[in-house]
Amino acid sequence: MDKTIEEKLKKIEEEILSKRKNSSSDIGKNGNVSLTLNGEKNWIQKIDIQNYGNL
Amino acid sequence: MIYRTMGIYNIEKEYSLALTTYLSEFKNNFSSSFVDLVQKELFKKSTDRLSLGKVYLVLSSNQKKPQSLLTKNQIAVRLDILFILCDYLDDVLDGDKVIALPKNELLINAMSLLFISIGELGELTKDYLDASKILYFLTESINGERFDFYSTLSKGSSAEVYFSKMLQKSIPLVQLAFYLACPDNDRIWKDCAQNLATAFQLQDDALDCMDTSKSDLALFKETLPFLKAIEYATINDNKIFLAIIENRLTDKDSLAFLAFYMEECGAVEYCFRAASLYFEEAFQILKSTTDISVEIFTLLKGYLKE
Repeated sequence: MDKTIEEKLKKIEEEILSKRKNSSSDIGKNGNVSLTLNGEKNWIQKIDIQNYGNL
Repeated sequence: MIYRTMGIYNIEKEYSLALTTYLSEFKNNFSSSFVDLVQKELFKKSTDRLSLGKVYLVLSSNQKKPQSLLTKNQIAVRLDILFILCDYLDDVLDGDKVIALPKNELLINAMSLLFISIGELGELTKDYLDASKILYFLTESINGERFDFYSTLSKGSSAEVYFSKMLQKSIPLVQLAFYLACPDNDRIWKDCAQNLATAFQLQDDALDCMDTSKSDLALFKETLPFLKAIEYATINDNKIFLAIIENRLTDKDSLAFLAFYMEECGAVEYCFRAASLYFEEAFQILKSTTDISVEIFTLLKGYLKE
């Protein structure tokens, strides 16, 4: 990767990560999955929780 | 759209004429189902898709080369044919279900047309180029394609591998178009083309990782968005994302979650912004070279940024 671009990307990355602090995902007992970002739940979908093992 | 008029020469018009002539000959030699497929792709390039053949025409219009305008237009069409064939090969190898033709029929026709096109390109450029150079770029690209075929996320995956190996399939193809236009200027055909191809591939990979109908997700390809998403999922301890990858889960819901998380975690944004930086770098190189006039630079920048 080009060094100048690499430096600029580092700054972009810091910005991206600071915008998305403390994101998390949860699987409910009923198989619903949610992703929480900046305190807001963004996506919920039923999945087969058997597939994910012991998280 | 590219509109460049130099006296009576208009790139859009001349390219369309060369395309029509090419297709009338092509129709006589291949099956109608394959002809329909290629024809559709060529017309897309003629209208709303990026045509590296046209980029070649714009770049070469600034060069004092011995070829006639007719020859240049013929080269441009062959370049677009080569890119279409390489895309087909990529789709077949990835198992993408976007081609309405049986794989074996597509392969035999594509291989046949590929060899014909390489031969024609060699013939059209023989006055100023060594045909082995054309083969060099194509060999590099197919080596990159082979790497991509076996690519899957592992402990050895990294951004360095992505930039040095995964991009190898697309960079040489763009370099070929730029080399045919400006063989004497390696800042253009090597560096500028490399930056542009990187930008295009980053955009493609970012779009494909949000699309569950594409194979990148199900094959766990070591693309930059995937690598960044793993990095961000590790920082945020996103166990679901990491478990899907660890267990190679490819059911509909798992893939939907991967696609969703790619965007939400910032991996897609990172790749799009990286693509912008590579575009800018490519344009800086073009702007700084004395071989490219201001008019050509403006024209190309407008077309490539569309």
